[in-house]
Amino acid sequence: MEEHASHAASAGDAGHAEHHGSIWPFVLAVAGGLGFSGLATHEIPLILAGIAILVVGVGGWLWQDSRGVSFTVKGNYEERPFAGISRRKLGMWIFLVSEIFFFTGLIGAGLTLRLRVPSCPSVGQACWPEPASPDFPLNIPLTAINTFVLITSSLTMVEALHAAQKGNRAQMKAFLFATFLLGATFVSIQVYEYNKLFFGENLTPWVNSVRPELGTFGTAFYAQTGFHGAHVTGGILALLFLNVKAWRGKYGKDDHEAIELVGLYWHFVDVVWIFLFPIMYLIGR
Amino acid sequence: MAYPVVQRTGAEAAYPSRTWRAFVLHWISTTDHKEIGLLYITFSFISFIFAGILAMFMRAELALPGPTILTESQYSQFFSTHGTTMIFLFIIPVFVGFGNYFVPLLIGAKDMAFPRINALGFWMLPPAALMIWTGQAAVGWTGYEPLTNVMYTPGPSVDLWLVGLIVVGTSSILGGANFLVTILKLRRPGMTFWKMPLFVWAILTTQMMVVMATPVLASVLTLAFLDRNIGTCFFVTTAGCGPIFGAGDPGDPILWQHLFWFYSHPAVYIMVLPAMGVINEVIPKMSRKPIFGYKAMAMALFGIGFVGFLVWAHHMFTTGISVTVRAPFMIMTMVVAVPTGVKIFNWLATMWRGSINFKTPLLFAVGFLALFTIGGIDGVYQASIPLDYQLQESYWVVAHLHYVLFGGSVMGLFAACYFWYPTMTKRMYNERLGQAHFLMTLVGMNLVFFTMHFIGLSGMLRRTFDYTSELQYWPQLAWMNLLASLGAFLLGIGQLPFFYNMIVSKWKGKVAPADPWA
Amino acid sequence: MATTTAAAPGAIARVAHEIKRPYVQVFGFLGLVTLIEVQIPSLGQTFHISETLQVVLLMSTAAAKAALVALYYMHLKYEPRILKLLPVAPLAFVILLLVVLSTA
Repeated sequence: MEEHASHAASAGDAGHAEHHGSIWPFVLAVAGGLGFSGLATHEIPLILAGIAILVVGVGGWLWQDSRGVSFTVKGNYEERPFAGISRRKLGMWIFLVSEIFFFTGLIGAGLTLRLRVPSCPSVGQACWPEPASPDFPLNIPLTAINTFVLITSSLTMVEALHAAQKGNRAQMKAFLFATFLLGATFVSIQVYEYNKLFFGENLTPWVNSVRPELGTFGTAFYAQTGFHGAHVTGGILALLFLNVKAWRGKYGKDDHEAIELVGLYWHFVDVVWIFLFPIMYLIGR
Repeated sequence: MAYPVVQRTGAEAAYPSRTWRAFVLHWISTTDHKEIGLLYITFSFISFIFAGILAMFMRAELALPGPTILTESQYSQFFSTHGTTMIFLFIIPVFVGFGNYFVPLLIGAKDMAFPRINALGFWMLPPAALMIWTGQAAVGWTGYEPLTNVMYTPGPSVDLWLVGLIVVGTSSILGGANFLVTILKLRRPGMTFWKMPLFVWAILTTQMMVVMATPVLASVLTLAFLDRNIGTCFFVTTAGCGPIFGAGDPGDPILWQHLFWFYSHPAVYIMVLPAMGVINEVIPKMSRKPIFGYKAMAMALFGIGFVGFLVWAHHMFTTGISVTVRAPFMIMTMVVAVPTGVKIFNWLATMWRGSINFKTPLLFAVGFLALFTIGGIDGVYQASIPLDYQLQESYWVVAHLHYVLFGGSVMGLFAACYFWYPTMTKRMYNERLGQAHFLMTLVGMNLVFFTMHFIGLSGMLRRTFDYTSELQYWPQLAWMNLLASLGAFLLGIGQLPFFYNMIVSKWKGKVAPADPWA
Repeated sequence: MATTTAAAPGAIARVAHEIKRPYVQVFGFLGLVTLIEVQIPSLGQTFHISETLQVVLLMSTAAAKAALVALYYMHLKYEPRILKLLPVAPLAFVILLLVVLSTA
């Protein structure tokens, strides 16, 4: 025990010569504090201020990157058994593990609600609609097409990475742009469907007086698909960032880690949808 | 020589902190792991003082029967904020702070893997604390549904609590991923897993648990927030969810408990495993012997972490969940005692025939062994379903959890503070004050929390503001509560020498020798 | 042992992209399975397939699709074993939580 500690501490000393700071984490935290407290107190100006400072913070963070300020910790390290997996990639996978648990909470909540109600139609109480019944509020064919859109975007994403690895930048840019378009299409179709469901089918995330029996289903449906949609939107922003950078001549044979990391996230969001689609659209009570 | 004095240089050179502006700018923009560690530790102790003062008010209220210095709703706010603060803003972040400071040093990394994310993780805490402290939600630290719903607790207090905890959780996840990548990728050449110091093993296990458990808390808090603000019906059976159908509608308050405890039971181990890691470093050093059973200790840490995920429903035995669910959870809860026992006996075996250096860190480490064992045995005892039916919601539970969290985590934390003080400040703390701190903490803590066992067995419920009506059946509650309150005041006063020692010794302490524990 | 981080990530990817990866085949399979999935509710009604069997069928097809995406698109198949384990091992806790929620 003693031997490691002494060795370690002396190695730890050496690194501080190249220290530099960053104000942007603090700025992002201020943004989060304002935005979230605005959310809790229903103060729109606070939320807007939070978003504004968030944009500034993210911008500053990326600006620091673009100026070549590197926070990468240099040195020789024991990396087995994770040699060959970059720190960022490992970090991304760990983040995805935490995302798995986030969605487990949501899906578990939906599962519990489903088990508390009978299947529709059921007089005078909340119920769960059956996909095969003509009263089913969700649009299965439209969402099946949307599922294809998302799967296709996964294919174009992985082809973009493949093109970058081969050094074919033209192909890479085309596939990145296609992925962005397909992602945007997915969200647009989802917004269109929400609109139809909300105003046409009276499916709301709360109990409404027109179809009160669908309050439970609406709660589960909007929470699960909504958080998935929010994740897709986040991915679209990341893809926008990749596209802009790619147009400006970044990424290629020796520089494709960013594409790989965004790709991992994008495919994960696809996997979540692969489960959510049958859970919400194809399985009854 | 184990922990040589570490020079803090370089960081100061980047931003010379001569003026106040430069000083503030330096500290809000630092990405140095040691400085972020110090920020975590300082922030956590501010939370500790705040939540401790709340506890003093609670015990002052309970010292005598009848309403004395607080109103009923103030009392509810105080114990809720006390619990939330101690857990989420003190114990969890303070060990993140020590981990930040020492994990890179112990594994030979120059910094954490992602320095800016490290800073972001810290800076999310103060705004979250402000939200939780201004909200003062009176829903306990558990926020049980349907009390947390808007129809029972209207107003922004619970919203601020929920959102504050979401921010804390996000900060934990960022920190967790950062720790994992650091430990998995930044060990000095030759340091394989089986050569890592046990403190690093403890942080590794803890942060694996953080990454898997905390997102579930984030999701359940988000759902509760939606229930309150959008009108979804995850947790409520009436009200927002079905004025049309009335009672018996499908929302499920037990769902909250499942998802909440899926995080919050592992959270107990997230709080206590780093303390065990500290003890793993303190006892061998102070006994001048290598740790007994290094591999067994590392595997026991992992074992506790693993089994810690399989026991959450033992908080819910009285909620009416089916017995086929309860029985395995009871057995798994008892199984936790096995790896814990391995650790306790290995620590004893490490000390056995060692040349023991009875300085303050060792005193707190031994205090940890004794008190955590009591808390652990309490836990095994209470895991039994029939006993749990009697003990649930009584003061006995309060006694148990404080033996684990104060007797375990906080005693380990004090051991860490004294043990690493020379490393962090280049100065020695005052030994006599340290021993006085230990004595008052030990006596005070046992007076308040051991008495609580009997208060609970006598039949007093936790979260109770007044026990006047119980006195006619259980007159002993009067002197027991007075005794517990006196113990709490002693415990509170006993922390003063600690803070004095830690702050003043930075300037007045003797310069630390190369190996302070030789 | 790998040296500095910056160079490490590309190494494996560069070797791996020489192998012909079946991205389009996987896409075809995903699409085909989705087509079948969409038919299950109506087929279930016509042929009186029990709800439980439908759930089992749909969850198995979803799991198969997810596995393909993870293995090929997230290229876990070409990663070291420890990284394959990283997202798979925690699934035990995920399944436990869902099982407990569905019984309690």
